[in-house]
Amino acid sequence: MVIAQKFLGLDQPALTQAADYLIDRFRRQHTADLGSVTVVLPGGRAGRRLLELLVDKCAALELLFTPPQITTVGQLPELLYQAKRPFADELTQKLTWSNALQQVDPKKLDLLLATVPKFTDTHFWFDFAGVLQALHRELASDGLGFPDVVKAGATLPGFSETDRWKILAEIQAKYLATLDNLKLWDRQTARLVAIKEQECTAQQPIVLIAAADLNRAIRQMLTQVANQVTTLIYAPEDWSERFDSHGCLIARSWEAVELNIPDEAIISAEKPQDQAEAVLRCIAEFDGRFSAEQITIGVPDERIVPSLTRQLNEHKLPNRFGPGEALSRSGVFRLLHDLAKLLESKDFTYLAAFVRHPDIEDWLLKLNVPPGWIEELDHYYQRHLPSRWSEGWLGPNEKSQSLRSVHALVKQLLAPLVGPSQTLLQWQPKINKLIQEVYGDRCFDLENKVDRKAWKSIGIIQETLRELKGIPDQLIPELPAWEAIQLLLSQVRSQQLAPPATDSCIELVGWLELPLDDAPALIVTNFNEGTVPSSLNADLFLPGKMRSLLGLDDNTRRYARDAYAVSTLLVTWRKTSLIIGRRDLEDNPLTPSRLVFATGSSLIAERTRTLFQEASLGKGKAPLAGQWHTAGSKANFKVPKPQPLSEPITRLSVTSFKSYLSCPYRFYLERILGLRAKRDDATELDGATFGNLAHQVLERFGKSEVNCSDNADDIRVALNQFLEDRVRQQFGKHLRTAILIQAEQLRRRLHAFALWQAERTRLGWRIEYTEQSFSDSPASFEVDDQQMLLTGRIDRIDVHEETGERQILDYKTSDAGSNPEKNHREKKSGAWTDLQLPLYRHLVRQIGICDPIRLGYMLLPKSNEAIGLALADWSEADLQDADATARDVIRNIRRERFWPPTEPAPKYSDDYAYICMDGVFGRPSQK
Amino acid sequence: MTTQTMQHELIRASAGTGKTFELTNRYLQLLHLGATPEELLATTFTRKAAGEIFERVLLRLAEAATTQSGLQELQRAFADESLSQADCQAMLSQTTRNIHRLRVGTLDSFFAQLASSFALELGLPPGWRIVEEHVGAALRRQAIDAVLDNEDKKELLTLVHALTQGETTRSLDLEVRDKINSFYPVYLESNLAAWQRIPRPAPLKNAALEKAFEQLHALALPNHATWEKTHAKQVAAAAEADWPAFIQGGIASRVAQGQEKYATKPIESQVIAAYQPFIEHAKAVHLNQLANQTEATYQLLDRFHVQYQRLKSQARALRFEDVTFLLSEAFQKIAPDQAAFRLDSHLRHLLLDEFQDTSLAQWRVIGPFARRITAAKSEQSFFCVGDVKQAIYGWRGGVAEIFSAVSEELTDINERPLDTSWRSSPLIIKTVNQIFERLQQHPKLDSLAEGVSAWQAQFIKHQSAQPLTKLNGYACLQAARLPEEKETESQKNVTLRFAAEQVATWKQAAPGYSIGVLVRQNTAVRRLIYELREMGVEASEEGGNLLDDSAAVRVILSTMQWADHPSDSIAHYHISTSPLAKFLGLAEPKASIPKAAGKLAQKIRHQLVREGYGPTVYQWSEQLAVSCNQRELRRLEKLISLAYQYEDSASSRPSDFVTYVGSRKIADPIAADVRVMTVHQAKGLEFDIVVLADLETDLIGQRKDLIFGRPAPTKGIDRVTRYCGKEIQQLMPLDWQELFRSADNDRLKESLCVLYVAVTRAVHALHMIVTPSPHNEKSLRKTSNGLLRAALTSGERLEAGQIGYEIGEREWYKTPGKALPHSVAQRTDDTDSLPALAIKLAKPPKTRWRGLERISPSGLEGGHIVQLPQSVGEGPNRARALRRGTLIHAWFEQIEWLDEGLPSPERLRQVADHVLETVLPTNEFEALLADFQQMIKQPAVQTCLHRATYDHTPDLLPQVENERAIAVRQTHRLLVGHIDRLVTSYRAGRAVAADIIDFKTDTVAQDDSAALRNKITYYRPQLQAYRDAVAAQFRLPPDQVRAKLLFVGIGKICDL
Ligand code: SF4
Repeated sequence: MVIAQKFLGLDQPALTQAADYLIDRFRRQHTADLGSVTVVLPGGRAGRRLLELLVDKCAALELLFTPPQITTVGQLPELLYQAKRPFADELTQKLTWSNALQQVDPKKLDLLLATVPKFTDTHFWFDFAGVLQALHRELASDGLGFPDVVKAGATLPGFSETDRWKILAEIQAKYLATLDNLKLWDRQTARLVAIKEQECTAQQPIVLIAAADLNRAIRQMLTQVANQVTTLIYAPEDWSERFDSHGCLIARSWEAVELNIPDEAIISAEKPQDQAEAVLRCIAEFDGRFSAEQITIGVPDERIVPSLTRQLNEHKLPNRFGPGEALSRSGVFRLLHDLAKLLESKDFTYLAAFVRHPDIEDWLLKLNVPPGWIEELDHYYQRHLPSRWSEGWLGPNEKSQSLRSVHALVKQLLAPLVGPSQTLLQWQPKINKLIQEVYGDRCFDLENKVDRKAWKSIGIIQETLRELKGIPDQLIPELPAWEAIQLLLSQVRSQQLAPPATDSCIELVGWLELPLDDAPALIVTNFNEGTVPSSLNADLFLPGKMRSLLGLDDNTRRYARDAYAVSTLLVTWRKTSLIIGRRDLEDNPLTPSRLVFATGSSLIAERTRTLFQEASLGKGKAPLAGQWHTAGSKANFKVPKPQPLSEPITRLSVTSFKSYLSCPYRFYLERILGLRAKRDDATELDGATFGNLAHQVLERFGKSEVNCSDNADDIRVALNQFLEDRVRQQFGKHLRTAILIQAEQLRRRLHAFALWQAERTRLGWRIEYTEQSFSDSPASFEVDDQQMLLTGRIDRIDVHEETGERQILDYKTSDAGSNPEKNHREKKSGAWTDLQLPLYRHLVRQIGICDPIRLGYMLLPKSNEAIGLALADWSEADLQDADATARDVIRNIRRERFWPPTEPAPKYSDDYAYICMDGVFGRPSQK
Repeated sequence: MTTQTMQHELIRASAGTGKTFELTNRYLQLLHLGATPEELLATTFTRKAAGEIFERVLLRLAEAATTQSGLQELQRAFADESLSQADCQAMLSQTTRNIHRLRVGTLDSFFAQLASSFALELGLPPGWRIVEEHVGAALRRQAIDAVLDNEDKKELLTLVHALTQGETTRSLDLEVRDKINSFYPVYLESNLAAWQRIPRPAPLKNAALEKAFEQLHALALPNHATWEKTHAKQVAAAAEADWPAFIQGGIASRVAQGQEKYATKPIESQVIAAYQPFIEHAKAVHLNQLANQTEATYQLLDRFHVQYQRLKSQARALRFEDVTFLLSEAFQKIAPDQAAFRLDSHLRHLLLDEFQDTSLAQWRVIGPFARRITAAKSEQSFFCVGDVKQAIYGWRGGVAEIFSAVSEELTDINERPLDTSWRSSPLIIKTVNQIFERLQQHPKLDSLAEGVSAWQAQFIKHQSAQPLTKLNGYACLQAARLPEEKETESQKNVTLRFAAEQVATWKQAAPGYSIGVLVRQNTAVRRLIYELREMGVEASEEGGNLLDDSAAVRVILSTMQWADHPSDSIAHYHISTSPLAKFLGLAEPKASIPKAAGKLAQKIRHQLVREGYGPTVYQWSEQLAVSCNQRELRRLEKLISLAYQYEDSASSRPSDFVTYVGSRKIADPIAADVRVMTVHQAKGLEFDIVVLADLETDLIGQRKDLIFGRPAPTKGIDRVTRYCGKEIQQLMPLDWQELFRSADNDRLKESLCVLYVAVTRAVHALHMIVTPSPHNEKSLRKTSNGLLRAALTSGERLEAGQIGYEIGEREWYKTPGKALPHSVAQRTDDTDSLPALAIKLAKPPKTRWRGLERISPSGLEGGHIVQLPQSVGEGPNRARALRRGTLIHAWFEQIEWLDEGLPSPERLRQVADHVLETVLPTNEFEALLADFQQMIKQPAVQTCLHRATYDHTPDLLPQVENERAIAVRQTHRLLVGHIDRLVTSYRAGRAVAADIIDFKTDTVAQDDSAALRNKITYYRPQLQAYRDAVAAQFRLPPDQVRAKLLFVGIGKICDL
C-alpha cells in the first residue's frame, strides 16, 4: 500500500487548506463528524489552531461538528500499536540508566570516563544517565541501538571508538534488561518491537499535515498502516521531487535550492535588545494595518524572549509567549531551592535567605511571629558573625527575641527533613507536607496573574512529587532530603507555565511552529547560523560523519528542514521580515544564517557587503514613541542639604573632630543623623571589630592583677585567657574559622605585647587607668564664652613610679601601625586632621591629671618588630594650635556648617558614597 | 600551486603592520588552493578580533568578486594574476554555503568545542557550562571558605602562617584569598615536587652550636673599633638566634660572600672558621623556613584545589582556563586523529594570531596539532603571527618565549618580519624608533642594563607606510606641573590632573578625534575618569563602568539594599530623599527609620520575587525618568536589562542583585571620544591621539610573591619558591639566585612591552606626560619615565611644564591628512531630535480571530478562588481512588442502553487493563466489579440508562453517545472536552432535545444533603458549560438541554 499524498500549495495558510480538506472529505449533509479521524501535526500549537478553524468553518457552514482526535507526530506511534506493558516514565528511565551504569564493571567505565566518580555521587550518575538516555532516544527513534554504531564504525576508515561503543552497548543491554525485570517498557523500544513484529494497526483514517520530517521509526509504522494514511504536503505540486512517499523532505534535493530571500526582508541588528527594537520598528512600519492577533514574532532562539516581551510590554503591545515562563522562576521553586540549600549546609546565610522568602514571611506572619526578625537577624549577624544557624544563641535574649522564635519555627518546619538518607518514597510525603504547611491556607485567585502562576507551579510540583511514587523501589537510591529536593527540582526546572490566552495578543512562536502559523505578518528574530539552521560540527558521541552514515539527523537534514521552513515563510499571503543579530547576549559575534546566501551566486557578493559593512547597522534611526519624559540635559538628582538642627550640639566626642575635619557633611550624616549601613556579607572581622576585640582584651588586662607584672609569661597566659573568654562570649564555641584565625593573629600580637609590657614594668611604668570613660564626666571646653562638653574614652594612662611622668596611650591595631604625627597632621601643610590625642589633655583634667603628659600610641600592627610605643613629639605650641583647630571646628558646628561635602571624597567614606553622589557622572558641583 | 606548496610561516609583526591582513590573506589563499573550511582553524584572542577576521574574509572575497580594486588586491596577495572575479565569486559562494563549518574564532571557543567533544575524557560533569568571571570568583571564595571550615584548625593555622610569612595580618580576605587566587595558576602548572625543590641543609646540632660559640667567643679580632662593635652585635644576634640580624650585614655577610676585607682589615682565616658554622647554620635555618613556607603554600593550594574542583563540579561550572587546563592534560593522551573524528574533520591548516599571548597550557593543546601538521609534509600548513614586543600578558599565563621555541620545535618554519606600520604617522614611527633604539642611553640601569639591551636588540627599526602628507602627526614628551598651593595631593595625582587638563584642551581644539588616555594601573583610570568628569569631559572607561556611576541607578540599588536590610539607615535616608520616595510611600526623610517602614521593605521583597526584578525595576525607573537626563536614562535602561537578565539566577535577597550589578562593568552605548584605559586594555586598539600618563611606575614593578622556573619555555614549571629578601637570596644556591634574577628580568621585559604597546597606539599624536624632575634629582629613575627621558632628551632636568622632546606641529589637526577622523561618524545622540516613531495596531475585531483561550468544562469546577486541596490523600489510597474513578467511568461508558444488558466481565476486564495501562490484581478487579454491579442496580441509575426513559413518544429517536467529544466557540473562548454520556433525541432527523449525564464517583453519605449541595455547587459551572456547548452544537434552545449529575455511589441523580 502507498500513502495517499496531496499537495496543498503555498497560496494559502496550510491549516486553512487542511481544515477545508478535512471538512470536505468527512462532511455528510449537516454534519462534519470527524470523531473517527486522527489528525497529526508537527506541533501542539498547530493542532489547537486547526481545531479553531474547524469549529469556525463548521459554524459558518452550519454543520454539526464532532472534533477529530488531534495529535502530534511525537505522540502518534502509541496510537498505532497496543503497548503490552506500562511505560517507564522519564524519571524511571533515567534512574534505570543510572542503575544500569552501576551494574557495569567500573574498570570498563574507565574507557568512557576520565575519572569514575563514586556511586554515592548521585548527582553525577543521574546526569550521566540523562546523557545516555538522550543518546538512546535519538538512536532508537531512527530504529537503531548502540550495537549498530559499532557495526557502522567498522565501515568508517580510522574509526577508533569501537571499544567505547561496545561498553555503551553493554550498558544499554543492562538498561533494557533492568526495565524488563521491572515489567516496564521503554517507549522507544516498544515502538521498535511493534515495528518488527508488524503489530501496527489503524482502525480509522489518519491525516498527516505538513509532517515533513519524520524519523525512521514513525515512517516504518506508517508504512504498516499506509492504507489509512493521507499526507497533506504543504508545498506546490511542482516541488514533488523534493518529497518522498511519506511526504517527508528529501534532504539532498534541498541543498542547491535557491531560496532567494528578498533584500527588503532582511534586517540587521546589533544585540538582542536591538533585535527587539527592530521588531518594534517593523510593527511601527505596518502602520496599523494589522491587529495584534495578526502579527507573529518568530523566536528560533528562546533566549531572546525576555528582551522581546520586555520591549513589547513597555510599548503596551499585548503579547504572549505560548510556552510561558520557566517554572524555575516561580516562588515555590525558589523556596524549595533555598530549602535544599538550608538543609545541605547549615550556613547561616542560607537561613538569612530563607526567612526573606516572601512565602516563608507570609507563613511566619500567619503564625503570629512579631515582625522585625530581619532587623534582628542583621544586627545579630553584624555582632556575632555566626557561621551556622543551628547552634546556640549569643548575646541577650531581648536583642533577638523575634529571631529566636522564627528560628524555632523554621527548625520545626524542617525537622522531618533533617536526618539520614532515605528513599524518595519516604521523603515524598514529608516534602509535600511542608508545601501544605506553607501554602495550605493560602487562597489563590486564578484570575490574578501572580496567584495563577503560583498556583500552577505548586500544582506541577505536587504532581511531580506524586509521580515520584510510581518509581519502582529498586531504582530509588537513598539520599539526604536536600538531594531529594534537588532531584525534584531538576525534574520540574525546565517546565513552563503557559500564560492564559485571555486577550488578543501578538504571539511569540518557536521556529518549528512557524510554517503552520497563519498570521499575515511575521517577524522572525535571530535568523542566524547555528539557530537557523542549527548545525552539529563536533560531538561527544555522534559527530556528523557517523550521523550521516547511520541516517540520523545530520547537517544536511537540518539544512533541508530549515530551507523548507523558510520557503513556507516567504509566501505571498504574509509579510515576512527576518532579523539577523550580530552579537548575542554575551557579546559573541553571530553569523547570518547561510540560508541568506542561498541565492543566485551573483547576488551573494552584494549581500555579503550589505550584511557585513558597518553602514548596514541601524544607526541614527528615529526613536520609538512611548519613551519617557526626561529632565532635559541636566539630571535632577541632588545631594540632600543638611536640615537645621532641632537642638544645638553641646557634646562632642574627641574622635568626632577628625570626622568633621575630613568632611563636615559626612560628619553630619554620621555623627548627627547617626546613619549606619547594615550588611550581612562579612565573613571575617573588619578593622573596627578586630580593634574592639583587642581593646576588650587589653581592658581586662589593664584592670586585672597581672597588669603590674614584669613577667612576660604571666602576662601572656592572662591575655590568652582573656582573649579566649571574649571570643567565646561574642562569637560562640563554633566560631567561623576565619575568626579563629584572626583571633590567632591577634594572639600573636598580644604575645609580642606581653614582652613589651613586662619590659615596661621593669622600666618603672605602672598602668594607672584603663579604658577610662568620660561620658559621665565630660570635660568642658570653652569656645567664645560657651561651653562645649568633650567626651571620650582613653585606652590607657601610665604613670612612671619614679619621675611621675604620665603617658596617655591609645591602642592601635591597624596592620600598618602609623604613628601619631602621621595620623594627626597633614604632612605637607602641617594642618590638623585629627585631634584625638591632643584633646585627651582636656579630658584627663577631669581626673586630676595635669602636665607633664606625653601622648602616644601603643602600636599592635601586623609586623611583630613594630609592636611597641609611638609617642607624639608635639610642642606646647603645636598643642595650642590643635586646640585652636578644635575651637574652629566647634564654632563651625555651632553655626551648623555642614555643607558642602568635601571633594574628592575622603578615604573610607564609602558608606556615604551614594548619598554624596561620589563618582556619579555629571554630578553637579556642591560648591 | 596547491596547498602542498604552502610554506609554514611564522611572522613577527610589529604594531600596526596589518597582521590581520596577513592572516586573512593566508586564509583566503588556502581557500583558493582548495582547502575546505573545516580543515582550517584560525584563532585569535578576543571575540572582537575573531569577528573581524571572519568579516574580513567574507568582505574581501565580496570586494574581489565585484570590484576591480578588490580583485587586484587579492591577485597581489596571492601573487596570482590569473585569479578572476568568477573565481572569487565561486569561492565566496562556497564559503557562505559552508559558514557553519568555518573555524574562525577565539582559541577559547575552539577549546570549548573540543571540550564538549571530549567532555567525558576530560572528566567534565554532564551539563557543564562556561560561567562568567564573577561566578568563578564566587566559587573560589566558597572553596576557600570550605578549606577554612574543613581543615584541622591547628594545621590550618600553621599553613596560614606560612602563607603570610609570619606576619599577623588582620584580614584573611587580603592575605589568604588574594594569595590563593594569584598562586593558583602556578599550582595548576606544577606538581608537589616542584614545590619541594628548595634545598634543606641541616642546621647545627646543639652541641656543635655550643662548640661554635666557644670558638666565636675566643676569637681574636683585629684591633679596630668597627670590628669590635660589629662583632659584639653579631655575637649577640647569634646568641638570640636572630639569624636575619646576624646575616644581614657586617662581618658575617662579608664572609658569606667570600670577600677578603672588612672595614679595611683583611678577614683572617680563623675569623672565617669561627663565622662559617653560624653562616651555615643561619643558611640552614632560613632555607628550611623558606622551604617550609613554600611547601605549606602548596598544601594550602592543594586543599583549595580539591574544594574548588568539588564546587565547580557540583555547580557544573567551568571557567575557560579550566577547560584549557583539562585539555592540556587530556591532550597528552588524545591523538589528533581521534580529535578529528569527533570534530568531523582533520585540522590541516592552523592560522594563529597574537601568538605571543599563547600560554603554555594552550600550546599543549594546539602543539600536537601543529606538530602533526609540520611533520606531515603534504597538504598541510602552519602559520602564526605575533609580536614578542607586545607580550604583555605574562601575568595571565602568556609565555612569549613559546614563540621563539616554536620555531625551533617545529620543522621547516619560515620566519618573516613585518615592520611597516599602516597605522601611525611617520612622525610617530620616528619617535617610536628613537625610543627603542636609544633605551640604553639611560645612564643608570645597573642590573637592568643587560635585560634592556637584550630587548633593544630584538627591536627592528619600523617603517611607515604612509607619507606625512597623508598622515600628519605630532609627538611630545612633556613634564606635568607641580602641585599648586591649595592642592594637597601627591605629585602623581597632580600629574594625572594635568593630563586631564590637556585632554580637555585637545578635545576642544580637535573635536571628533578619538583620544585614548593610557595608564598602567586601574586606580589611575578611575582617577582620570574622575578628573575628566569634574572638567565636564565625558570619558568612558574601556570595558565600561559600573552602572552605579548614575545617580538614578543608585537610588534603585539603595532601594534593593534597604528592602533587604530594613534597618540600613543610610540606604533609607538615601531613598527617602530621592525622587522615588513618594512613589514608594516613604515619609519625610528622617534619620531614624519609622516602624511602619519594615512592612514597606517586605512589600518590596515580595514584589521582586512575585513580579520579577525586571518589571519592578522598570516601574521604579519610570518614576525616576522625569529626573533623568539622556545619559541617566541610558544607564537606567541598562539596569533594567540587567534586572531581566538576572531573573534566572535571582535569589530571595534583593541585596544579591546589588552585588550582581556591582560585578559588571557596562559600557555606555554612546561611546565617548575620550576613552581611558590601562595599556593592557588598549592592546589591539588605536586612537588619533594618545595620551600617556602614569609613567612613573618602576620597571621591575611590584615584586612577585611567588618565584618559579621552567627547564625550557615549552616545559612545565619545575621549581617554585616563595619570595624572600635579598639577604636570604644570597644564601641560596646559584641556580636559585638566577631564578630570582630572571623573575626580575621577566618583569622588566613586560614593562618594556607595555611601553611599546602604549606608544604604538597613536595614529596622529602622542603625548607623553611625565612628572617634572624633583628638586633633588640626581639621576634618571628606573622607570618608563626615566627611559623615555633618556631616549628622547639629553637626560637633563625636566622642569614643570617643560617640553623635553617634540616633533611635528602641535596643531597638526589643522592639516591632518587622511580624510576625516573616524569617530566623526554620526552619533546616536542626534536621534533625540528626530521625530518619534509611533506604533499603531489595527483595532482588534469584535470576536477573536485566533488563539482563543481553551477551557475544559472540568477545569471550571469550583470557580476561580482556589486553595490547595486539603487532602491530597497521600499514600496508596489516593492512587486507588484515582484508579477507581477512572475505571468506573470507563465501565459506565461501555453501556449504551441497559435494556441490552451489561457488557461481559471479560470485556470489562479488557477495558480495565486498557485504561489503567496495567494489569489489575484479581482481587482488586473483583472488588471493583462488585462495586460496579452494585451501582448499576440502584433505581436512579437504572432509570438513567434505560431506553424506556426516552422513547415515550414514537417519533422521538434517542441516540446515545458515550465520551462524546465537543468543541464549541463561546465568543472568546473555545470550550473543548468530553461529555460522559449524551442522549440526543431526534425527531425526523433533527435533534430536538438532549440530556447530558455526568457520572460522579465522589463518596457522599446517603443522607448528607448539605454535602450533596456543596458538591452540586462545585460542579455547577462545569455542567453549565456542557449545556451551553450542546445547545450551540446542536442548535437547540437551552431549555431543551438538560444536565444531570449521576452520583453512582449513592444512586442519586441531580438535575442542574
Ligand atoms: S545582641 Fe549584643 S550581645 Fe548581641 S549584640 Fe546586640 S548588644 Fe549585644
